[in-house]
This record gives sequence, structure tokens and C-alpha cells, in this order.
Amino acid sequence: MRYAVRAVVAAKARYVLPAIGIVLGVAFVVSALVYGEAVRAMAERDAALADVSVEVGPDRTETPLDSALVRRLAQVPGVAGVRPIARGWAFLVDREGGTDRAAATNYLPSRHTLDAGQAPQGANEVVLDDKAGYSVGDRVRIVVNGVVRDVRVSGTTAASRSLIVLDTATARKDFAAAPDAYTEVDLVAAAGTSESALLAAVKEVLPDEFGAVSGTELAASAQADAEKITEILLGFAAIALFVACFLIANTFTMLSTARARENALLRAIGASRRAVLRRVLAEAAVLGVIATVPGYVVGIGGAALLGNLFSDGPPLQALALTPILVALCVGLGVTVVAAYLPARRAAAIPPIAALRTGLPVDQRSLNRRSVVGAISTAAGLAAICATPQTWELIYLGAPLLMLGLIALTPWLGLRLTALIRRPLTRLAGPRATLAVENARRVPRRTAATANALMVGLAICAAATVPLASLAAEAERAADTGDTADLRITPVDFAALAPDTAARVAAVPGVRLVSPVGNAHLDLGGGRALDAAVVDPVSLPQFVPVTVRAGVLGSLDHAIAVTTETATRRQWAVGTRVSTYTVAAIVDLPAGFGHDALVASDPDGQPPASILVRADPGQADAVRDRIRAALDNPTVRVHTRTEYREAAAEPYRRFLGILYALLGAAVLIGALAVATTMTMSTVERTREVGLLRAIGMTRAHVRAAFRWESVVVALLAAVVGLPAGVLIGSSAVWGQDSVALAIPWPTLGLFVVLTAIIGVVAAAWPAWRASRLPVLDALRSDTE
Amino acid sequence: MLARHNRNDTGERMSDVVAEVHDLGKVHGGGSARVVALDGVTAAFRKGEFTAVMGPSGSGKSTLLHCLAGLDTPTSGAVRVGGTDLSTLDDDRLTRLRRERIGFVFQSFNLVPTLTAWENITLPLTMGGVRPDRDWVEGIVAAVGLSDRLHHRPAELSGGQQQRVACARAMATRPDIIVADEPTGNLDTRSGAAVLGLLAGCARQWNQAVLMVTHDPMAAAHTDRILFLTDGRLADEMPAPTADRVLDRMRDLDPEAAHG
Repeated sequence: MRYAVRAVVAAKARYVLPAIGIVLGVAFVVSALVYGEAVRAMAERDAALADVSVEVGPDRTETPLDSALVRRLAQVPGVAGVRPIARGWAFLVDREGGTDRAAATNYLPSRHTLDAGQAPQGANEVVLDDKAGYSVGDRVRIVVNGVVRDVRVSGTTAASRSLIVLDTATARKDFAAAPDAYTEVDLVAAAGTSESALLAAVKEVLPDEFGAVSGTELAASAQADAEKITEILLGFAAIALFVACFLIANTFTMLSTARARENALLRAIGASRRAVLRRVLAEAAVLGVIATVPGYVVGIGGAALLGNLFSDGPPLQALALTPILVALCVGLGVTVVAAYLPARRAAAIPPIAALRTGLPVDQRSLNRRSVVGAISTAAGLAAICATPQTWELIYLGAPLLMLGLIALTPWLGLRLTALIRRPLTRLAGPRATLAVENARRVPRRTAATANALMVGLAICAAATVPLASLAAEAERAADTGDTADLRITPVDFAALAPDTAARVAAVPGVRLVSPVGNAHLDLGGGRALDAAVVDPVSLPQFVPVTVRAGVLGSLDHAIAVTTETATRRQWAVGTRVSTYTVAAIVDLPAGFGHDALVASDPDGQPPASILVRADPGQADAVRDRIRAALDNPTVRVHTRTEYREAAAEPYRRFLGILYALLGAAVLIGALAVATTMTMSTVERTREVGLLRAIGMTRAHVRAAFRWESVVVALLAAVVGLPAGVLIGSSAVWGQDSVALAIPWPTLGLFVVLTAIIGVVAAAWPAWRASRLPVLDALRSDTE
Repeated sequence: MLARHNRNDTGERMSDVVAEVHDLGKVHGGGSARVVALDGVTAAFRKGEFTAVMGPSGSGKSTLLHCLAGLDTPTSGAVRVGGTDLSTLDDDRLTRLRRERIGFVFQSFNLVPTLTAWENITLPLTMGGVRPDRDWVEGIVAAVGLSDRLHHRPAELSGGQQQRVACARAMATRPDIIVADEPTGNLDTRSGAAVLGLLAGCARQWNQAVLMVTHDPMAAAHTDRILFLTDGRLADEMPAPTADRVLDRMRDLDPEAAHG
């Protein structure tokens, strides 16, 4: 062991890059565990704090939970306490004018312990969570149901996430479905009554359109969310570690090659194979343990970063036994496992090799590996091609394809480099010839290097294709076939105030407005109709409505249905549908997306969007005027192009998060390229000396290494990106509602980035090679 | 100074001198580790002349070759190749001079293992962005007798063949001078003789200046003259040498080495 420590210290320069790979992998695991644990602990604490035995609520938010029901529930045997709740979402306008979505609820003395100030009194006071950064007496703006309110902070309370506490009367008015109603009721069991007994008793008296869940279930679902987050993060960590394995294995292979004579000498003087094997593995173990320490520290930083990005920074437990043990197992385990095969090969060196000069050449045939790879690739392709029929086959096809390609990469590398040798030589002369030939020199090593980068790239591509398809679909759906100049919509989880359309209509430059809402018409017997709530007078000014039969009129207690719906349901003008009469049969643009038109929403919901016609050529100016007039950060006023882009925005944001999480894997892949290039310069010292002697300039030496690195990196792109695109496409083929959209510009960007990774990874090795003193290099004993 | 020295001492025409060293000194290390490798060596090398440099180990013969070829920088004195003072050149210009005006043949590892024989031979040309003059290079290839091995890699060639490829590469750019460092050191007698014949042919048929460092009196006997170095100084010069005379001279210079 002491030898191993000394060996690692002696070769520290060569171990730096693989160590960074291990650090990143371990850090990812630690981040996932520590952040996940923090979220879980927060959910547990919230559940304990809430002290709920049973929660009762309506199945549909439109159903009022009135005080009569509350009274009935209070009389259920075993109920010790009843907390009627009115809650929903509200937005706090921050100092920069942005918004922070917050849970809004009525004030409950048992639940909201005030850190400062007092309970809210009336509609003009709120209590905020202590992380919001306001103190008692501050004036803040909140947006509830699309209406902006200027309120005073009357107090602050501790909360694990953004919270706005309103006084009970205000909260009921804002969120309950009827004046005398609440949104939920929390019940607390009396001593001696079990949660499940209470749940059963409550369900006895509960009307059909209400449901009840136990406090344990509520807490479990919150914790399940936390566990899902941990699992997803661990999945990305596994990808990073898988990639790190290639980097580590490559490092040990190259070190074993460099030390072949030393190992052979050990064998010659009587060391057993096991002893040589143990020597290499001990070195791997030391490297793994040394890299785990910074890995853990970086991981805690990563967890803090995740906490700030995705939630309101749950308190982290920086030193906990589980993550420390897991980090150690992962750091040590991955390094030793990845080093095992190279170690076995190092131990297999014949003692006679000690007497040979030069580096041993890898003579093993690629045939078996390539055949296995080809079979696995073909099987994977077949499974992926069958995904339109059986979607689940992707779970079989994707790993088979990836593993097959990994096995096939040495062969592919040889074929592809043979193809590009001539054109590249024509392009860049002997620099390129040397680069291509060196990339071909040790096909397994080139493949392992490319594979490390390939895995990350393939997964990036596999994630990009479905999300780009969804984004394209969303953009298409955003185009509802209307001719509006501007469209007004609320941000996610917000709503438009009922008077918005009237206020917009009063803005100078606005010619016409037409609100459009979504209604769910219950036809009874489990049948429903998805209708658009429209103004039948103004709508045809924006949307081409072709009346096939009947008259559109004012749709008073009447509906218009699409030709398709009428045919399917066998309705005609005059047919009674629930409380409506079919007044007209119409054709709507394909993108409009509703089966029927009604004039008012039976549930009284505000419109989901407002279509606006501006004075000709004034769209931008009118947009700015409407924004100023509404002065509401939860309302989006978009021109046609802005609206399309905004529709795709959530997918792009999600893709951004995925790229960030996959970044570690790609970075480790880049490190693998850099490691191989560094080792290559060491191995080829003498060749560089010869080339410099017979007249290669430093710039050309650098260029040769750079080209080689780019060739290896592009091999990763050429193998990985099509595989990823195929896997990603198969995920889309399974969905009927989404059309496949291959994001060519993004894929092109990936190729460019991969080439840049190649250039950057070679920068230092190339510089070093070009600076080798010619005479020393010529005399060196490495070839 | 150099020009007068040459004219006065030898009476040769200036235009034949392609490379010269004047009062060349090279000191390695400093303090107690100070080693004098070259101590005031002056010599000139002419077109069509095959020169050998001999001397015991540590006499500075390799250092002389390295300084002349622009691989090592002298600590004093001057090196001129084709009229250019090497000390005035930066790394890029020196590299270019090595590529265009000097041909190299080393003892071993002369060839780039990943390139074919043809690519190795034309490497100094293609590296400089020059399109190889096919007739000229093919003439050389024919002269070294490798026309049927051009698409083989070094690993597929024998040691003698590899060394002949190296000779062809050294000649491909029509350099001012070909320098060979123990070119026959790793070869059997027959292959060695073939390589020496090639180098001699370079000088006599192609009118090339050739400078060779060697231990081997038999090899040195192929040359037109021998410069003997001891302790970094020019000890003697022998025109038209024969193996026997070389052996005798060597014995005088370093009795131990001649016996061993």
C-alpha cells in the first residue's frame, strides 16, 4: 500500500485528469443524495408541522365545500379539530418587477407561527414567509386571480417555500368556489382514534364529489417527489460515472503500457501475476480514495446550487454518514472496477518483455469484439425500429444499441479514419496524415476515448430530439389559425382578471378584442364536450368561422358545434344537448382545438386568452401600451411571433436543465480526450523529436496533435449523435400526438462543439509536445 | 574571417564550401558538473565530399554533428550552412533550414512508423508544403533500390531497408549537406555496406556534401577524409583513408577503445 501511495504521488501529473473525472462523478452522487435528503427532510418537517390526520377536498375545484359540510365533518366521531382551509396560488411581485409564485392560504393560528408582527387583518394585509426578504410594515404587490393588490406586510412566518398568508375572509373570497365555501378541510384525530379509523369514518359521511386522504398519504406523496428527484439525479450521476470508467480504464491501460518493462522486470525477478495485479489495483484504490475527498466537497456545493436553483434552499446536512459512505464506495469502487481489466492485462505481461526495447504492441484481434458489437448493434436497431408497435422495446433497444456501438467503435474508427486519410491529407498535408494515422494506431484506446465522449453526446441528442419535437408541436399548437395581432395570456398558474378584456379594449390603438376561454361542458352520463368560450360577435373577426348550417347568432343558451362533432355524435341544428340547443354547425381552423363554441362558461372561469386587433402596423407600440395599462407581471402580452416562441419556451428551459445535468458526462468525456492526448505526447516523444529534426515546425507539431484530438472527438460525434437521434426519435414515434422534428441546427452545433472540445483537449498536450527539446526527445527511449 | 581562413589554408574555391564550423565550442552544465564537449573546432564541408568524424566516446563527435545540423546550439563559435549563420535564426527559421538544407540519417528510429516508405521519403517536402518532384524522388528511390517497397510501413521493412529509406528522405530535398549519425550502427555488415555505398554515391554521383559520425573503421574507410576528435578538439585529419590506417590512428588516439 505504501508503494501504491508513492506510485500515485510520483505519477500525479498523469492522474490529475482521471482524478477530476472521479471527483465529478462522486460529486454528482453526493449532490443527488444530500439535496434529495434535504428535500425529503423538508417534506417530513412540513408534514409534522401540518399535523393533519385526514384532508378532505372536492374532486373538481368548482365544487364548493360549504360550511354545512365543515360542520358535518366536525361531528364525525374521533375528530378533535377541524381546520377549514381556503388556498390557491398567488404571485408576489419582487423588487425587480418579476414574480415569485407562492402558495396562498388563509391564516391558521395553529399552523402559522409568526416570527414577527401579527396576523393579517382584512384584504390589505398579508403575512409572508421569512425568506421573501420583507419585514413588517413593508408595502408589497401581490397578484391574486389576475388582480394586482398593494398590501402591507403585517407579519412573517417560517416556511419551507414561498408563502402568502391572507386573512380567512379574503382567502375564501379569492379561492373558494362559492361565497360560503372553502377549498379543503383538515381534520385532526382525537387521542385514541387512529388515522385510518378516522379516514373510514369520514368517508362514511362524505358526499360523492368529495375525496379524503390521510395525513400519512399526503406526507408520503411529498416524500415520493423528493425520492423521484434523488433518483433522477442519481441517474445522471450514473451516466457521468459510466463515462468516468472509460477515462479511468484508459489511464490505467496507458500507464501499464508505459510501465510494461517495469512490470515485466518484476515478473522476471519472481513477482507473481497476482502481485502485479494487486500493485495496479492498490494504485487505483489510492487514486479513488484521494479523489473522493474533493468529490464530496464539490458535491456539497452542487447540492447547495441545486437547492438554490430548484427550491428555496432547503437546509443541507453537509456531513451525514450515508452520503460519506456512498461517496467512498462509489469513488473507490468505480476506480478499482474500471482499472481491473487494464490491471489484468498489465499482469499478463511475459517476463521476457523486460528485455525487449520499445513499447509492446497490442496484438489482440478485434474480430471477436467487432462481431459481438455488430450483433448487439443490429439487435438494438431492430428493437428500436419496432418501437412504433411496442413502445417498451426502447428500454431494450437503446442499451443494446449503445453497448453494441461501444464494442464496434474500434472497427468503426479504423474504417472512418481510413476514409478521411486522403481528403484530410489533401487539406492539411502531413500534419493531418500523422494525426489520422496516430488516431488509428491503438484502435482500442482511440475507441475508449471516443466512447467516453460519445455516451454524453448520444444522451444529449436522445434528449434533444423528443424535446425539440414537443417544442415544435407547441409552436404549431400556438398557431390557432387566428389573425390576432396580439394575444394576452396569463403566466403559468396565474389567471386573467375578469375585467381584463374591457381594460384592454380601452387602450388607445386597440381596434377590437375577443376573449377566448376553455369550458368543460358536462353532458351527463360521463360524456363531456370541450368547448371554447367565445364572443360570437367578435370571434369571426379573428378566426375564420364557416357556418355550415344554422345561425351563429348570440349563442344564448345555445352552442355551435364543429361539423366533425356533429357527424360523430349525430347532432343537427335544433338538437338538445344538456341545457343547450345546437344553434349552428361550423367549421373552425384546424389549430383552434375545440369541439364547440359557447357564449359563457357555466363555471364562471375568466378567459384563458384575449385576442387583440391593433391599428395597422402598430402591434409593438400597442403591446407596450397594453402592458403599461395592465401593469401586471403575471399577464403576458405577445405579438404573434412572441407567442409562438413563448409556447416552446418551457421545453427549451427543460432542455437547458438536461444539458446542464449532462454537462458533467460531456466534461468527463472531454477529460478523457485530454488524458489520451497527454499520454500520446509522452509515448511519442521520440517521434516528435524525429519530426522536429527533419524539419517540422512547432506550429505543425501542435496542429498534428490538435487534428488527432479533433478526429477522435468527431469519431464520438459521428457514432454518438446518430445513435442518440435514433433513440430520441423512437421515443417520439411511440406518441401519436407529436410529430418528429429533428433539430438539425442543434445537432450541427453539437458537432461544432465536439470539434472545439477536441481542440481544447489537445491544447496543453500539443503545446508540450511542440516545446520538447529536439535532442532530448530524439534520445528518449519511448517511441 | 571564415572566407579568408578557407582560402588561405586550403586554396579551395569558396563556392564549394556548403557548411562550415568556426572555432566551435560547446559546454554542458556548469560548476562541478561542467563538461566541455567541443573546444574550438574549425572545419569546412564541400560539395561532393564524404567526410567521417571519428573519435572515442565523449570526444564530441555527435555534438559537432548536432551543432552543424542545427539540433544543438553551440556556446561559442559559429556555424554556417549554405552561407547562413545559424545563430541568427529563430526556432521556426532553424526548423525550416533543417527541413530544406540538411538531410538526416540517424542510427535508429529514422522513420515515422505510421507513414509509408514513400510518405516518409517525401515528408520534408510535404511538410514544407512543397509538391514532391516525382521524377527526382523516383530517381532517388530507384537509386536506393526501394521501388517495390514504397507502400510498406517501416515495421514491414528490414533494418537495412529502413536505413535506405532514411537515406532517400535525406536526399529528397537536395540539401546542402547530409548528416548521418552512426547510420550503420544497428545494421549487419551487408546492409551496412549498402547504406555506406549509398552515402558515398550521394557525394560522388549527386555531388552532395555528406558528413558521417561513426565508430567503425570499416565504415570510415568509405569516406574521402576523416576528422579525428579527442576531448572536443580536432586532433587529426586523414585524407583518402583505408581501414588499416584508420585502425592504427585510432589505436594512437585511444588505445583502450581499439582493443575493446
